[in-house]
Amino acid sequence: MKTMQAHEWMINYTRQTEWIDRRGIFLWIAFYTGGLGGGLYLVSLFFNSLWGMFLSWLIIAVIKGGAHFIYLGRPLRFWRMVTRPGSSWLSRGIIFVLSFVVLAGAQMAFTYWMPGTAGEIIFKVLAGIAALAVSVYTGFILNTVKGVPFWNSSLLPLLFVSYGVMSGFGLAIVIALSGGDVNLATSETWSRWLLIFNTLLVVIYLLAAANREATGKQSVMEQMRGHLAPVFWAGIVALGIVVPAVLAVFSYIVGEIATALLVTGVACEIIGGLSLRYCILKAGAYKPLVARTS
Amino acid sequence: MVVDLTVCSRCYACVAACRVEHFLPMGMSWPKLVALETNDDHPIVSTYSVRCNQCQDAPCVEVCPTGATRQRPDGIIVIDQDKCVGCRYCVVACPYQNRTFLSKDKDRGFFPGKIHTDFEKAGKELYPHQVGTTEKCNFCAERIDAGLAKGLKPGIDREATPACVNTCPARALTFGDLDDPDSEVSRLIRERKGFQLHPEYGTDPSIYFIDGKIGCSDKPADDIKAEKAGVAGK
Amino acid sequence: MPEQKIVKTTCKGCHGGCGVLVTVVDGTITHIEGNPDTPTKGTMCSKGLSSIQHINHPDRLKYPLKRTGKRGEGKWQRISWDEALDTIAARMKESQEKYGKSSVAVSQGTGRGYNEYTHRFARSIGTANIITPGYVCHSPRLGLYGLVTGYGRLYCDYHGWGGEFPKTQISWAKQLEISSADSEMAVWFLNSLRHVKNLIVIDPRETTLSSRATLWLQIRPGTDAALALAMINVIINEGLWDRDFVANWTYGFDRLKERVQEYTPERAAEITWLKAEDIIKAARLFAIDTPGCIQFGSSLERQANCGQTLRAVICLLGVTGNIERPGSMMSWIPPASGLREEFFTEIPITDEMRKGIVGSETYRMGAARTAHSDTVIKQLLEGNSVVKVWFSVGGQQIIHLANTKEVMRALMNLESLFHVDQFMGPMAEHADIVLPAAHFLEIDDIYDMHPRFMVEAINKVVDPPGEAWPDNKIFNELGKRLVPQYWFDNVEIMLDYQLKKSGLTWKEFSAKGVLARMGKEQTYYKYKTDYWRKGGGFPTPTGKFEFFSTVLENLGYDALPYFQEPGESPVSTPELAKEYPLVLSTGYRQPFYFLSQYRNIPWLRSFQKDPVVQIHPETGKKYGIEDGDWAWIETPRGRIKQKTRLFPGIHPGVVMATANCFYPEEPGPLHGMLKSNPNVLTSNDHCDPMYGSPDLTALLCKVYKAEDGK
Ligand SMILES: Nc1nc2c(c(=O)[nH]1)N[C@H]1C(S)=C(S)[C@@H](COP(=O)(O)OP(=O)(O)OC[C@H]3O[C@@H](n4cnc5c(=O)[nH]c(N)nc54)[C@H](O)[C@@H]3O)O[C@H]1N2
Ligand SMILES: Nc1nc2c(c(=O)[nH]1)N[C@H]1C(S)=C(S)[C@@H](COP(=O)(O)OP(=O)(O)OC[C@H]3O[C@@H](n4cnc5c(=O)[nH]c(N)nc54)[C@H](O)[C@@H]3O)O[C@H]1N2
Ligand code: SF4
Ligand code: SF4
Ligand code: SF4
Ligand code: SF4
Ligand code: SF4
Ligand SMILES: [Mo]
Repeated sequence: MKTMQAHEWMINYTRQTEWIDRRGIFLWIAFYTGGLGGGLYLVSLFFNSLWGMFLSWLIIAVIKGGAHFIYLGRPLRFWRMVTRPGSSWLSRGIIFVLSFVVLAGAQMAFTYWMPGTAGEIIFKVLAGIAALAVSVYTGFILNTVKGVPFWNSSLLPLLFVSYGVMSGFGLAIVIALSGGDVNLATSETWSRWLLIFNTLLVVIYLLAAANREATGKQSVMEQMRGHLAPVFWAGIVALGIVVPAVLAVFSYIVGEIATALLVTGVACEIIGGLSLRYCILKAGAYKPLVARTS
Repeated sequence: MVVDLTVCSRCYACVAACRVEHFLPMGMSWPKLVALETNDDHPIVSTYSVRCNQCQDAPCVEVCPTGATRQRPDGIIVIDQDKCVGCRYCVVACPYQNRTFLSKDKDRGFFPGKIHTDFEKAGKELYPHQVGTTEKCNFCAERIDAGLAKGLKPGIDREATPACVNTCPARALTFGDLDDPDSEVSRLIRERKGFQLHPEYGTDPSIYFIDGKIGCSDKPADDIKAEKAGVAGK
Repeated sequence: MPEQKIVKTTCKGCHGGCGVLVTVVDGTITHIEGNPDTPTKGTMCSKGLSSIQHINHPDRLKYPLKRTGKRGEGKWQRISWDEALDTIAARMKESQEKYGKSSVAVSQGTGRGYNEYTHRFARSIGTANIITPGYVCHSPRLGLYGLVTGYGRLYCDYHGWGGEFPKTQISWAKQLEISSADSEMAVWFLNSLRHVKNLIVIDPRETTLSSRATLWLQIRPGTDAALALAMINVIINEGLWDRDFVANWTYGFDRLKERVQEYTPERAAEITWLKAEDIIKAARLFAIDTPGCIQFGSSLERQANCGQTLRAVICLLGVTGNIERPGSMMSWIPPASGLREEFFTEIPITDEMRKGIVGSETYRMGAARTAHSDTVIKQLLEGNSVVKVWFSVGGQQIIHLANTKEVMRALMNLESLFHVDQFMGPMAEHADIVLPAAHFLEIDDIYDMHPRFMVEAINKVVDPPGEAWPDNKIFNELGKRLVPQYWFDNVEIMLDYQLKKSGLTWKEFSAKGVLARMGKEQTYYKYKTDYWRKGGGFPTPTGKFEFFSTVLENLGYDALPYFQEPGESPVSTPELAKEYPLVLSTGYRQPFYFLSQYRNIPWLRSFQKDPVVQIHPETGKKYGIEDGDWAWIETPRGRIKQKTRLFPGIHPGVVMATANCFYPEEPGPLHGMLKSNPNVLTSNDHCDPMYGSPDLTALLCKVYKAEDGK
């Protein structure tokens, strides 16, 4: 460590650490799986895939919920977190998650036992809204943090949802390949379009962030050239964009490609999504409390 | 509270006083000193004694999902340790980085692996800290309340005034009622151009900083080349 | 219902002086804060507040220990107090019979409220070989003020008791804002800044105050005399001197005038690396905007030309008439109890004792009442040492004297070394017997420090750990074994005795807390009254403020101040400067440490883990050192490493290293003492002719990055 002592804190670029370092990885997982689970549920609605719905329910209820729970300093007081939806996006988020778990559970029951009933439709709509909310709220959580310019972007919620949906289509491909109730070709097409859309979004997001004060630029530089560069270039760019894109172009030209390659592409997309959340959390830096001029 | 950068000598007394007052575990510090040594045409050595700004429009209150963090009627932002779930949203959301999550490793004793001192043992009774919750400066709310109950005036009577303010040998810290235009804090802010850190966040901090030149320190000194740090802009 | 009480006492976490309130619940300290009803108004610093961690420290010494292995081997055996004191007394007696009384030396660290006992004890057993860091700390200024005011104490009037505060203040080589109680308390000084018109800071480093001062003179270390003489030159040649004071109350003005002619601002600018116009400006501000005062710092005393440097600065006070005027330099009248010094001065130094003082022939100002430490060290190395038995209290000479490696070897040559301390530091590790001392929260004593207008009660709050004893009890019990006629039945009677002039008993005084002479009870312009001399005047041989010092003339020194290059400098040793191009200064007190103390106190250590060296960014770039790097600092005596702070506020040609540091957590006997302590670098070969002070603040060095990182 080059830093000399506590008192130099906050005259330079300081990263937020609480939500990524050490136990903070649970929060990262929770954030990512929210997007993934929500996205997959929406995709599953589109295909009316019960497998997909069930998988997304598991992701949200077990992985996301569990990660959140483990992360808390005082997990047994968990229930208190729903008491401030009026102002806190975290309260809202937890309510979304809980509603989703209940609504999607009911919806699946309907779909399984009473398909086609009005109940199924209603719960599909409600759970769909909840799933959208689950995948979007983490974007708002970050977006409203004033001290971290890198996050002050209204693109963030959109980015999170659209990455979620893309990964959802990815998982749908896997479901299709394992003989599930999903149309492979449609999934692939959507996946491709979303990949292009998301790539554009990421570029716009980074460009905008780089122009958002010195600190925003620092956050971007940190990813391009700093400690985060390996994650950024290997995770987001190479695995998350280039490999799926090459595979997409390849399969577009060839028409059909090997299952293993498709699965690889999906895995890469998921790594890309995880890397994106990781970078966004890790590069989030505060504006110096007190600025040192050059 | 008003912090005078003109005379603060980076002595750390405020930090130590808070640790004594609140029996803080080794990994915890509510106030902090931010040292600035700039290199413009003329170097300026400044020390910002910072602590929770008790923002009037506090993001930490807004984001707290449990209501553990709340604003008291007198404006002080407090955390109810019994309600906090330790989600750290407030830690991330405080743009001034004034909150600390008390993790197990921060709850260190004075002499790890050795005895607990009598003082630490007493602290566990008198001022228990809950691991897994978030903490910050509370403007010595306990002291203020006890003082007020005795009919004393915060900022004037020592027993109703924060520990760090009382101990500061430079008298760099002034405490008082911002709503009272005649209070010393209001006068200092008015006459010496008090500024808040990062007003552009719209949080309306209750801590103001003043700077000046020695020799005319009771007047605003325009020619002092001190950093107008933490002010809106770049 | 738990029993709660609040004890009023006085902190001596540094030199001491802050009034303190300690809350005790059922015998446990639960709170500490300043006492608002004392002159320090309820303020306290981080060191005093951290006393709470200090007293319960698991590494405190609890029992007397006897060395069982070789010296410095770290093998100890617990013994009883009786055995310890009997052994020490016997060895002292033996040595005094065999080699003479002066063969026993008594040493202490800086003033920590035990000065009275070390000096009385030494004198009572017939030796004046008292080893103290005074000659680099505070004594030279007292001695040289003494040539003017007789009783040797001049302090800045930060109090405004005479109706006026200083209008111009010079902070000369001083950080009073954090070094409380060395001169006056920080809280008084900082308060006086609200009334000052001009603040002039003379320091090679920028500080908070110099950033905001009227004038900051970034001087080359060790050249302060040239600056002072040039300021006098400007004041005299521009006719700005205080006509009335100079004409009526001074001696030797014309000769001073003649002397300063060679120190033109231009020449001084060259010597000091300052601008001539700034020197002129400083002189004018100080002469015109009166009253003014000069806060001396001990960096002026840690120079091998300190005697004449201080003389020059004192003459600057004289030409501007800044003596005894409200808002200038004052010698405060002590409280009713008198000075605690009387407790030791009542045992006079006999001719025999004087003859036995080591270094007295060479350093006639410094080694008149105390020994010259570096000569003691040299004698021990050369095997012709007068001192054979060394009784050490508090201070760690092994760390704080110049040229550590020589000091270490010298201590091995002692017949006996005894040390009293609270922790097992490097000095204790080299002793034959170590005695455990109590902390100030565990003792009853009387406190008085530099400004001397008050005495305060140190009241016991809790019991010491194990069998630790207060220093005053240790001296009394040892004294009783050797010279009972000078010592007392118990400590309380001894304290009563010290207070006898005040008419108070210890019990009464202890309840009262403070005995002070403040406000209207102080007398200004004492030289215009019969205070010092019937009909007015100063208590000097001429009855005047002596620009030309008749005392110094008689002792064979130059009676007028002059500038002398430091022993090592780009000017005096240009060849050496080729290899060691940077000026090294050491000192630079840290607010949360006190000399080598407190690196084992967790709260205080958390503020700065490793000793920091300040280097200018350009200099750092030149030598490949970045902020936060460990850097080697090397002189012909050796090298140490400290952590680099690239600091634009230091002169590019100067390197400032933190002094007196070791690492208590590292293994004994040295506890990392050679890793970062600048005295590994300092030289004891070149000392001030009057006081024998070595150059600690002006040497030559080179710096480079420590590649291994730690
Ligand atoms: N907190 C704290 N307080 C202390 C101490 C402590 O260790 N910690 N130590 C106590 C003791 S024993 C003493 S003697 C005093 C010492 O107290 P000070 O006299 O204040 O000692 P320093 O801080 O070492 O040096 C003061 C200033 O002198 C500057 N300086 C260095 N060399 C020169 C020079 O050649 N010329 C000039 N003009 N300036 C120079 C340094 O940059 C520094 O800013 O403090 C006492 N008080
Ligand atoms: N290079 C360089 N060397 C310097 C200086 C410098 O600036 N640069 N400064 C010089 C100056 S001004 C000084 S004053 C000296 C300081 O040197 P010292 O006064 O010797 O200071 P320390 O080395 O800290 O030693 C203090 C010791 O006393 C112990 N102690 C503290 N309080 C008590 C007590 O109440 N009772 C007893 N029995 N022990 C106690 C502490 O535990 C510690 O071991 O260093 C000098 N040396
Ligand atoms: S106590 Fe006062 S002078 Fe010391 S660091 Fe704190 S604010 Fe600054
Ligand atoms: S400074 Fe931070 S913790 Fe304090 S009130 Fe403002 S936002 Fe909340
Ligand atoms: S950590 Fe505690 S105080 Fe902070 S937002 Fe969460 S529940 Fe509220
Ligand atoms: S106001 Fe009280 S709680 Fe806040 S920093 Fe000061 S001493 Fe600590
Ligand atoms: S300045 Fe000295 S006396 Fe005052 S609290 Fe600090 S250590 Fe104690
Ligand atoms: Mo000293």
